[in-house]
Amino acid sequence: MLALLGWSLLGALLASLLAVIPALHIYNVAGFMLLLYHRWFPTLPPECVTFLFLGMIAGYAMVNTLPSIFFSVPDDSTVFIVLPGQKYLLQHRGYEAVILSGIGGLGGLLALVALSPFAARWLPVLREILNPHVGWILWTIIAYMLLSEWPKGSERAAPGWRRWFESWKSLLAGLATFLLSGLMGFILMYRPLVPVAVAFQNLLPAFVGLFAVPWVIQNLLSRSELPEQYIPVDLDAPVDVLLRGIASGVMGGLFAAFFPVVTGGIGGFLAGHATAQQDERAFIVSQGASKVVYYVGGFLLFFVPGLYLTRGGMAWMISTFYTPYDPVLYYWATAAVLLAGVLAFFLSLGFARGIMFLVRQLGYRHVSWLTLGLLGFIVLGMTGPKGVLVCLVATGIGLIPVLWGSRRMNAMGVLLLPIGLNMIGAGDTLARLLRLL
Amino acid sequence: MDNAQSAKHSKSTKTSNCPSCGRFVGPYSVCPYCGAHLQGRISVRVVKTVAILLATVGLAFLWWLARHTPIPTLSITEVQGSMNLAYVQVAGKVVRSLSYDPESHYLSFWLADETGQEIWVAAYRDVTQALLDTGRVPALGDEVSVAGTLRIREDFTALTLNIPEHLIITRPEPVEVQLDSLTLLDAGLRLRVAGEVGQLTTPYAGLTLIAVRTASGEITVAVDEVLTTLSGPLPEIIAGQGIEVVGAVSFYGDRPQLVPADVRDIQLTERPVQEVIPLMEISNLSLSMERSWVRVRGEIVKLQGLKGGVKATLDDGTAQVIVLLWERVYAALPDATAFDVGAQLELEGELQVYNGELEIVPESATGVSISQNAPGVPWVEISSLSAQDAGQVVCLRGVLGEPVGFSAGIKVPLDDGTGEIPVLLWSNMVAQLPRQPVGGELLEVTGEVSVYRGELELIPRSLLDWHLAGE
Repeated sequence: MLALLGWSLLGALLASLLAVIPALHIYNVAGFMLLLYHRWFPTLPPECVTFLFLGMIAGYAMVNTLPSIFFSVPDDSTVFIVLPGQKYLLQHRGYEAVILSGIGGLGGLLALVALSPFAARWLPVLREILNPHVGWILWTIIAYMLLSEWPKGSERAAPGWRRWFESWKSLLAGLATFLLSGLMGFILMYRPLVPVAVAFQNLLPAFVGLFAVPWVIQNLLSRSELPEQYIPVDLDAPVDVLLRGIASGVMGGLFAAFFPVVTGGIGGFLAGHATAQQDERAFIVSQGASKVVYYVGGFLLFFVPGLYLTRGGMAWMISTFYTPYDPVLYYWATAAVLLAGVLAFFLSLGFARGIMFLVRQLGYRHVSWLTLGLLGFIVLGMTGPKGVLVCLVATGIGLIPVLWGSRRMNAMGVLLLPIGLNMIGAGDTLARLLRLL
Repeated sequence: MDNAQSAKHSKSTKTSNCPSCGRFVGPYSVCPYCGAHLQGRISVRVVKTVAILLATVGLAFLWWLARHTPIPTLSITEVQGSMNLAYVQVAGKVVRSLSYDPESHYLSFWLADETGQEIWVAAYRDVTQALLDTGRVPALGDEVSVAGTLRIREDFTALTLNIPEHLIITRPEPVEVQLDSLTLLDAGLRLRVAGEVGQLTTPYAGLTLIAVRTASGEITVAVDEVLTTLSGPLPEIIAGQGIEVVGAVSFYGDRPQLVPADVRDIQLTERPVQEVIPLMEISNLSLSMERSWVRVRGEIVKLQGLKGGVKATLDDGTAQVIVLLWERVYAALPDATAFDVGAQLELEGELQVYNGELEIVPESATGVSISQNAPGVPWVEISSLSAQDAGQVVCLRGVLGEPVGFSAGIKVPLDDGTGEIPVLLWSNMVAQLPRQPVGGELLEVTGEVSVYRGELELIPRSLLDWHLAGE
C-alpha cells in the first residue's frame, strides 16, 4: 500500500508540471496516458494507475490556478477565478492570489479527510434520497443561474429602446450563450463528431472553445501586459476570511462533486451566493477550495464503500478497467490525495515564481500566442479536424459573454441543457425536432 | 520622426497604449482620448461579427454535419476503454432471455455478434415504454441492430439505448426441424413446432414449462414471467391439447427448450394435431433414438409390478422391448386386466433409456391400443405349484393369514385348503390398497410365482391382481 502512495506522489508531481501549461486539462493527459497504459504497460497493476491518477487529479486541482491567474486561461471549474485573479494580477498581487487559492485547496482537502469516516455511511443514503429529485434540482440550478443575472447599463444611452438594449444586452448575451452552447451540446451528445476511438474526449473541443480560447483571444486583443509581481512575506487575509472562504468553497465543491453535471465553478457560484460572499479574498479562497473538492472529492466518491459513484472524467476513465472493491482502499485514497495535494501546494508556489519569470522574459502576447497554438495542437491531435471545427464554433459562442459582458458560466449550457432535458424526458423531442434521430 | 519617437510608436503598437497620447486604449482602434487612429489593431466590431457568425452559422453547419455523419458501426470486440460514452451501433443476435422490471421499466438483454462477444443492452423508463407501445421488444433469437451510448466498466460492456428508433429488430422466419437433431449449435434458431401438450409444470413461481410432443420428439416450451409481463398472460392449457409454438431454441444444461417471443406465438387447438408416427420394428430401436417418439406393435410376454406402475416385455418377433406404464396410465386403460401376458397391442410413447436398457413410456392411455386381450390366467391349487413354475402367472383363491411386515412391504400367507403360500406385496402397493389385509379374509389373487431362498411365493403385479372378497 505504501507503494501506492508513492504512485500518488509521482502523479502529483507530474500533474503539477503539466497544469502549468495553459489550457492543458488533466483529463486529456490522463486519456492519453490510458491509451499508452493499455498499449505498452498492460501488466502494470491497475491499482498503481488508479493511484497515479489520484495524485494527478489532486496535483492538477491545486496547480491549475496558475494558468487561470497568470494567463487567464480557465477551464469550466476555474472560470470564476479569472476575474478576481486578474484584478490581483494588475495590482501586482498575482502570487498572493495563488497562495489564497492554494490555502482554499488545502482547506478543501482537509474537509475531505474530515468527512472520510462518515462518507461510507451517509453518502449512499444521500444518493438514494436525491436520486428521484435530480431532474428538478438541475432545472432549479439552471433557472437560478439565468435569473440571478441583472441588467447592467451605464444609462448613458438615449432613453427608450437604446437604453433598454444597453442594459439588457448582457442579459440577452447570457441567454444566447446558454441556448447556443446548449444546442451545441445537444448536437454533440446525440451525434458526436470526434473519432469513435477517442469518444471519451467528445466534449474536449467544445470546452476548450467555450472557456479557454476566448480568454486567450481577449488577452491578444486587449494587449495587456503583465505588471511586475511582488512576493509577499505575509497575507492580507485574516483567519476568519480564510475559514469563510473554505467553508463556502467546500459546500459548493461537495455539491458539485456529488451532483451530476454541476461543475466546480457552478458549485462555487451557488455556495458563494448562499453564503453571501463579497470579500474578494474569501472568494478566491472559496474557488480554490471548491475546485479541489470538486475534482478530488468527485474522484474519491468512486472509492467510497457502498457508493462507488462515478463522477468526473477521471473516474469514468478508471472505471473502464478497475473497480475498488476493497473498502480499505478508500482510506488509502484519501491519504494519497492529502499527501499529493500538500506536495502540489508547495510546488505551485515555486511554479508561480517560474511563470512570473517566464512571462517577463517572453512577454504576455507571446505566451498568449503560444497558448493558442497549444490549444489548437491539443484539439487537433486528440480529436482531429472535426474537433477543430467544433472548437471554432464553441469559440464563437464562448466569445459572446466575453464581448458583451455576461457570465461565462452560461456556456455550461453545453452540459446543462441536454442533460437537463434528458432528465425530464424531453431530450428526444428536441432531438427529433432537430432531426438528429 | 526621430528614433526615440519611432521606438515609442513601435512599442505602443505592440502594447495597449495610444502611440499618440500614451494613454491606455485597450482593444480600441481609435484612441477615445485624442482620436488617433491606431495601426495594426483588429476592430472589436470585426471580432464581434466573427463571433456571432461562428456561433450561429457555424452551429448550423455543425448541425448539418452531425446529421450527415453516420453512426459508427462496431463489432463488439472492437470496443475499448477509450470509447466510453461513444455513440455507436452494434449488430448481433439476442442470445439470452430478456430481463424486465415493471416498476422501474428497466429492460435489458444480451446481444452477441458474429465474433461471439456479448454486450449488455439496456433501455430505461421512457425508452422502454416507447418500445412497449410500438411493440418493438426484442426476443431471444432476434437479429438486432442497436445504436446507443457505450458504457464500459472493468467487468462488462453495456450499451444504453437512448432513442427507441435506434433499435431495429429483424425476427427470422421460423423453420421446422427434427427435434432429435437439435444440438448446442442451434441455440437461437427460431423453430415452429406443432404437437400435443404433454405435462405442464411450474418449477417455481414465474416459470411455466410446457412439454410439447411431436413426431420427432419432445421439447419443453419455457414461458417466464418477463414474457407474460411484456406480452400478456398464458391462455389456459390442458394436457393432450393440440399446440403450435414458434420460438427460439435455448438450452437448459444440454436439454433444448423453446422460448417464444410473445405469448401469442403459442397457438392452441381443441384437438391434438394428428400425426402419424410410423410403425417400427422393435429390432430397429436403438440408444441413439433416445427421447424420440416411437410406435410399435407386439405381444406381452411378461408383466411385472414395480414401484409406481407395471413393466411389460413386448415381443414383435424381431426383438423385445420393455414397456413402462406408470400407475396413472395403467389405471386409465379401458380394461387394465386385458393388459397382461399374451395380449396383442400397439402403442406409442417416448423411447427412454434406463440402466442402458431401452424402454417405451406411453404418455397416456390413449397411446395404448389392445387388439387382442390377454388369455385368462389359469386357476390353480397351491399344492400343484412347484419351483419349476417360477415365472408363471397364476390365479389363487384362499383365506388370508396374519400379515407379516418386512423392510420392503408385507407378506401375507394364503391358504386354499391344499396348501399355503406367502403372497408378497411391495410397500408401494400396500400403500395403495383400499384397506389393509386382515387374517381370515377371503382373497382372489393373480401373481407371478417366484422362488426366494428355496421357498415359493406369489407376487401380484398390480392392484388389479388383488381382490378381497366383498370388494
